[in-house]
Amino acid sequence: MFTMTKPESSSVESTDRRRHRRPWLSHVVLILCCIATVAPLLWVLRTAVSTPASVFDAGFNPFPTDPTWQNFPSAFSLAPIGRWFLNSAGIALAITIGKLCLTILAAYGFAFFHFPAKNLILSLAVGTMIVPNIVTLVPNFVTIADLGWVNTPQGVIVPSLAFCGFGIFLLRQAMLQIPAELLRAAEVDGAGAWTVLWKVVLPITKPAVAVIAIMYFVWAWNSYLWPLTVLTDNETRTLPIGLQFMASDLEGSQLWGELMATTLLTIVPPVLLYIAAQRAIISTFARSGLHG
Amino acid sequence: MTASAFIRQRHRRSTATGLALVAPVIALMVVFIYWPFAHSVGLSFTEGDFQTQTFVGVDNYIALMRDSDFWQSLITTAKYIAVLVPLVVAVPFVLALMVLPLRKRHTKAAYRTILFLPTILPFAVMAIAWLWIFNPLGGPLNSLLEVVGLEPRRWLDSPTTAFWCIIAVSAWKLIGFNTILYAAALESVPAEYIEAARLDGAGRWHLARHLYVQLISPTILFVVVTATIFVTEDVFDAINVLTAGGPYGTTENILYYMYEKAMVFFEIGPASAVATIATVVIVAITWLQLHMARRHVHYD
Repeated sequence: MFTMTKPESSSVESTDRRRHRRPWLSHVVLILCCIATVAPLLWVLRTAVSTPASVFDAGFNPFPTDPTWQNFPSAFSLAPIGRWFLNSAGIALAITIGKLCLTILAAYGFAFFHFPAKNLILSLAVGTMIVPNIVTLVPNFVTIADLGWVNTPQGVIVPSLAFCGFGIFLLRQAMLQIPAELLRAAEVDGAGAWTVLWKVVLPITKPAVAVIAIMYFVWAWNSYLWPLTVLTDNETRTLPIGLQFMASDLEGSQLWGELMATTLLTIVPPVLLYIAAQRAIISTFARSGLHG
Repeated sequence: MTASAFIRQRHRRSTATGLALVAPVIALMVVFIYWPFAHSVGLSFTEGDFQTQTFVGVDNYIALMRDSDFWQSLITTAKYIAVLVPLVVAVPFVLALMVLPLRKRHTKAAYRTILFLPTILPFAVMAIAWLWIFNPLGGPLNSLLEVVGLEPRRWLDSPTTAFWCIIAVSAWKLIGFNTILYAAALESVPAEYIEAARLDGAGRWHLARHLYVQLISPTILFVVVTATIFVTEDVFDAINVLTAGGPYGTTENILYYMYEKAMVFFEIGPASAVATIATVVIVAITWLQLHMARRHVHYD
């Protein structure tokens, strides 16, 4: 039985609604959930540093019996992993920088300027968050094919730049919190729209911009369906796509050490960014669900 | 004075600047998100490849109605919704109720940090880790079963278990995220409400069922809608890596069916017809959820 209140508590105690009747039970359940959450990661780690023999012979043992780095060079010799890593980094950086610029300009425009049909245009922009992938996939591939962009980085990057709805929504909210006195002071000093953005708005909204930049990078790094569709040539693939083809090639030979070593490399960038900014990221998302 | 009052004062001369600021991203959104809506409907009445298409009327739709694989993918999508949505809506609610009363802020933060983790990991890449976990030969799951004395199984090759593997991986991805959404919503419930209900003699279950559910109903609705979109869309990554829609199409959702038609068989017209039907179905389900919610969701 899970519980968070203590109905029979005295009036003094009862102001503390965060009272547990059986806290240990909650902890047991939560710890089990946390173990289930990190278990796949532990297994990636454990297999990535296991020798081919100990990958299979260890029974159920979450810790490597005799750790080795040999899977990493071995994986690099099996597939162009360095190349895929660079493709991923280049594409993710280009998408992040492009989307960030577009998001900052648009959020600034929506927050501080008046123009016809502004509310309609704003809901169109934010509404892109719920447009199903299933509709955009084929028509966008047709467009990319017309432009001759199949198998090119720009084929992945340019359509991805359109998905700024989430960032515009968040950053506009942050910008609306800026006290008007600051903006008026800048105006009085004769600052133009551009100067106000650089000197007043961006410095104040830096935390929101940082979270949006990190999420844009993580999404671009993790993205799967669109790069899978556009990048058909092994040399042009991003890391997640290359890794998946590597997995289907190697599944027959059961080279799990090499596969998990590559998996580990692929998840390192998002995990590092998460560690660096987890509080800001979590609170941003937690707030985004509050009002539906 | 707030920023919005400020803009009211200076709006006369800022029209052109404002439009210029939003124009680039709006142009991209029209070209790559909104125009494809119309384009997709147009393509669904044609036959051909990526370069040239000829008009064939409603033939693609008629062919789909007769295609048992299409119906199976729709039924499988419905099964995903029926199993996964209740699971990832209810379990996180219980977990959030457990997180809520914890007193130590660091303990809370630690649970939150770990539970959020799958949200930022690449789902398709983690699916490869799950491929290893489910591996029949020496995979961690079968090793564990062997230690406990149970029979190892070919999890992803059996029509009875493959579907549940996809469900498990999706639940792994979503439960932590939803728990954090709920926990944030529950924390924002004013303590006086709980107090008032308790003074009226409300028990724990009563509190959870009536008060909390009602007070955080916007968040519950948000979770229902996003979970539904997840099973029709994002679960594609797991399906493609773990089962490729098999065995016997038992794990193939509507997006996977469309993807195969378009990218494996290059049947652009039929694929677009699937996209059009799927969009109508997704919009209808979302509309239904929002409509049903109107009676039960309380925004204040």
